[in-house]
Amino acid sequence: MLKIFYLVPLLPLLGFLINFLIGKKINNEKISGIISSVAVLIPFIIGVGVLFEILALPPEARTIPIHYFSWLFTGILNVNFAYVVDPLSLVMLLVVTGVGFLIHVYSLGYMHGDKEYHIFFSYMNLFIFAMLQLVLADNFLLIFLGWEGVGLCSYLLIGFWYEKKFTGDAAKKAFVVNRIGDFGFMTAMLLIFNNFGTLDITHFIGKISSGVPLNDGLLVAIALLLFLGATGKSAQIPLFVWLPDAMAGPTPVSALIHAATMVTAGVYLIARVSLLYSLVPLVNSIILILGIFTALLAATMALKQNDIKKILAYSTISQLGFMFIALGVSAYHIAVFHLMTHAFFKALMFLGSGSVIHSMHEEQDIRNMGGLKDKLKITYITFLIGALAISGIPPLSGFFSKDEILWNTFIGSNPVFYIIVLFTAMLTAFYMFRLVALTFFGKPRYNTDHVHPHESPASMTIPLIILAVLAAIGGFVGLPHYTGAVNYFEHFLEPVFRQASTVYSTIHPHGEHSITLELILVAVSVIAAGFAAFLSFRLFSKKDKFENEKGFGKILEDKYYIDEAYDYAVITPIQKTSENFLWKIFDVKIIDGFVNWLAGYFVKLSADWRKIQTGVIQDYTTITVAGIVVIILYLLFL
Amino acid sequence: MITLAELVNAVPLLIIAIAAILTLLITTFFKKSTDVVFAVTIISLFAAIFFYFGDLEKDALIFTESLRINMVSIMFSVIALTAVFISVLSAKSYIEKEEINFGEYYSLSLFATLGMLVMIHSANLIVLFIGLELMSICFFVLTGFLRKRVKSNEGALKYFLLGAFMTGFLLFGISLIYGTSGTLDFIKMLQNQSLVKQPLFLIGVALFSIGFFFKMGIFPFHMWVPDVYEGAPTSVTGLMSTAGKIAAVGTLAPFIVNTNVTSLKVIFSVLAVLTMLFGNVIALSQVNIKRLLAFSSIASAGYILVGITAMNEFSVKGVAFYLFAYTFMQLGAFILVSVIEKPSDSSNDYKGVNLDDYKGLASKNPSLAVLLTIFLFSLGGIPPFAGFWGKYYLFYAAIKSELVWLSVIAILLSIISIYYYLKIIVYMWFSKESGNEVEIVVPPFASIALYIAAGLTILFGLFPNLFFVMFKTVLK
Repeated sequence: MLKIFYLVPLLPLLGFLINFLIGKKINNEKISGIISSVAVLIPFIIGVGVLFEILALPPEARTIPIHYFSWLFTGILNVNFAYVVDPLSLVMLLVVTGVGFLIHVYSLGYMHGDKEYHIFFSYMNLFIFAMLQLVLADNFLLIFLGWEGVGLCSYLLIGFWYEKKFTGDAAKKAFVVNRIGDFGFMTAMLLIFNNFGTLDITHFIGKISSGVPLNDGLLVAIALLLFLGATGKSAQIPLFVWLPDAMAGPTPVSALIHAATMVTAGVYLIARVSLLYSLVPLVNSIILILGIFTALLAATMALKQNDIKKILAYSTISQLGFMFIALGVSAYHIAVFHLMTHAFFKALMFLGSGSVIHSMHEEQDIRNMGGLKDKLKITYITFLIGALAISGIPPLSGFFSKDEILWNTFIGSNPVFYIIVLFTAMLTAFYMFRLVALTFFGKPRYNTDHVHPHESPASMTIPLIILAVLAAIGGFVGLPHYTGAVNYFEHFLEPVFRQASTVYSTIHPHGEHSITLELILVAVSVIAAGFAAFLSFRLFSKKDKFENEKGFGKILEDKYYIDEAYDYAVITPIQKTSENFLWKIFDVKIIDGFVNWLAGYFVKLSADWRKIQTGVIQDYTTITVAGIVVIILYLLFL
Repeated sequence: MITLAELVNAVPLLIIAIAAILTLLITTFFKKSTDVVFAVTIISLFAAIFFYFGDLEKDALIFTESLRINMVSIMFSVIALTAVFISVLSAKSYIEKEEINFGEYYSLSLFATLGMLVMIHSANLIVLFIGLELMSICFFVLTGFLRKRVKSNEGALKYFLLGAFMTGFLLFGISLIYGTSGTLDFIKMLQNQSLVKQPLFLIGVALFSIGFFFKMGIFPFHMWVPDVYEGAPTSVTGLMSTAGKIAAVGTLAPFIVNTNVTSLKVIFSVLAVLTMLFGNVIALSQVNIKRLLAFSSIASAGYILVGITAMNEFSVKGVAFYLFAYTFMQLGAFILVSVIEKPSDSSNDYKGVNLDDYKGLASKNPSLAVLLTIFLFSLGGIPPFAGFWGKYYLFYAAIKSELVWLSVIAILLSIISIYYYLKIIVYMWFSKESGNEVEIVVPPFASIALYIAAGLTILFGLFPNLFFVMFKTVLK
């Protein structure tokens, strides 16, 4: 399978080109959609094949560099078009193509009848292509190519229904906010290149682990700048504001890009250079604190939202916060584990919400839903599984990953942080069951004369069922130690993070913890989550009147006024300066003035000089001879 | 005695020579045979390129040490043949449109090509001279191929007169070189290290170089370029400005780099600066696109001279890459001009070659506008197109020879060129069409040539290293 590995990025690219260039001529939804889906399915199959090949190898030999060609070759900057296939990139590859394929299939039904159907699928394929670059590349520049590529696709797909103004605004917001993160990434790349003379990750890691004394400040700067990039892509404080707005895009896009794959790029990036982070404990603490803060803040905001997709968006931010908490305590395999289970249950819930929105004729406000559980049976059951998983109810996948995060927070940091994270986990269960109760239970609050909800077509429900199965049993690959079973997931990823864990455990030696303590904590968290879910369900399943929020609830509903604060503190001043100084004075007067003067000068010069070109051959010969004479005189006398 | 091994080494040259004679014979004895001649030409060019790639790593002196087949000469030959190939492919529809569809056109192109190959492979000065003259005389005739058109005749005559005049200096240079070194053979010449300090030898090399500067269009020997480029049939202009220049540079650059005449560095760099300045500045005020491209090609000769002036190991590779990239973008631009050009009813002047004719092209024929935009961006040296890397490698060579000042000037002067390239782009995309225009028909062969050129401009822009991999050289 490794021999045909080049098909993995190539097929989505081809799918993109076919649909983008001749999709209009094909003019057939079925063909466009199938081309596009198959272009993701085959890479997934290849990925599974590679997985088995790798499992047959001894753990130390599971990192396989694949060098395709030398991409840039310019003196000191040499960039190879090379991939690295190791357990980490393989997990990402399988998540991206596997979940990606299911969402492509779902889109076949969801996007039915859209006038730019083929364009939608071409962008989706382009996204998969870019995402694969990101997760497979063995080089910061190539990762950056994918990084920007997924950003572009995110922009294009958020604004896919561009007739509506707010989609354009949301797309712009996502793009601009991400630029700030990208700036961090780029600066980090420059620092790495300047100080280590390479952009290859393998070389870079080799150099920082070689034992040569390193400049700590430099490492901290690189780690912080890369983390800034990660906060942009993965919607963490302070750059999380774009993700809720990004819900303006079609729902499959929200599921694929803004829940399952792209937003986890930041987590992946940090996991990829885990050794760097294990060397700088200071940055780890920053990641941990920001992760906790993001998780808590986003979970509280989700409590009072009424748009079904917005709730899921805040939930995504909060869950990404959980992954960063795991990174912050150097539990890298757990961050990746939660990344994977989250991809299953969050993609499931987004697609489920899409199914609800679809059947409700584009209604997204859960206050206007209710009682849908009988009408949308499959959607309801699968969604419920997702909600149970994210709430951490055993034995669903979310329980295993979230519990590991809680446990590692407990042993890796301090009890206060543990309690905050536990509280956040309770909030998760609470807002999620509020959503379930208001949507699927109680009496219908929509106009039953006009709206007749019905179950979505098979192309949409089958992906839901598959994802529900994954969300239910996906956790069993990573059973915790106290069960006495083998944690396959940890073993699989262990070679990738071995160096980082070794460094970390020499800095933070932590003693043995009793299994009893761990079991008690597990019981506490399960009971807490169960209680929160139950409470929420009781509160909201019969509710049919909604009053305007007051006091703290209003603050939560308005998301702490963070958007407004950014607007006031950052955006307005920038706009004012741009308009009054940068544009009207600096650009128009200084830059344009200089440029126009210079251009005018050369154009005038040109009008004068062209007179030399008389068209008379005698003049030509004279000038030629004069030139020759000058050259000979120079050679003779100087 | 000519051995079989020598013949095998010379297969590409023989193919072109035989095809040139064959096409001439077919044209003479069979009427209405131009399609056959076209096919023979295309096949022979393709076969020649194919055989070159058969064995790239040879290094042989053949035919009593008069031709040298080695990696560098093969590299330039392949570039020149590629240029001729694309140019001839697109020329078919053009000469049909202009009603000069005679078999001699192809035959002359092939003879010119043979001249180029002989010149590039030459191992001594006499063979070199024969190749140069073979190429030049074919070009004189091709320039005047539109014999009913005054400008074509004027161009041919000017080219011929100045060309004959400059040949005198070239020969004088060769005789001085022979007089001081006592040999015509390049290799033997290089064995005598003290030569480069003799003033007479230096003057000889200078005059020899001036002969080539004339072909390349280096200031102040460029005077013929605008008039001839404007007057010649557009397909011929494309051929001359690419293949002709490749042959001249491909012969001169290795010679200068091997001889390492450091005393000429000052003259070379001054000429390079003047050429870039002159070409770019005068191009600003041109209204005829063929003249504009002529001045831009003068400017690019200046960039090439920057690379040659470096006289180090990177020079030849940098120059080769630039010429390779230049072939696609320059030829692409000229093919586009030839497509847009209208067959004129009166016999006096070209029509549809003014910048005004490009206004609103994007709304009339978007794909042509996209193609021209690609070529112009590449000529302007904007990434990710091949032209960017072309300039990069040239200036890199100069910087490696501690000619930083020259590179800085070259970069600044190449900024001027962005102005006139962008002007055309602005005309195409943002200006309203002037007058009611007839629809532009893109003939099939021309459009194949255009897409090849554009595709390769992008391909080598994204993967510049492919070129060095292709010719098994390494640019460190």
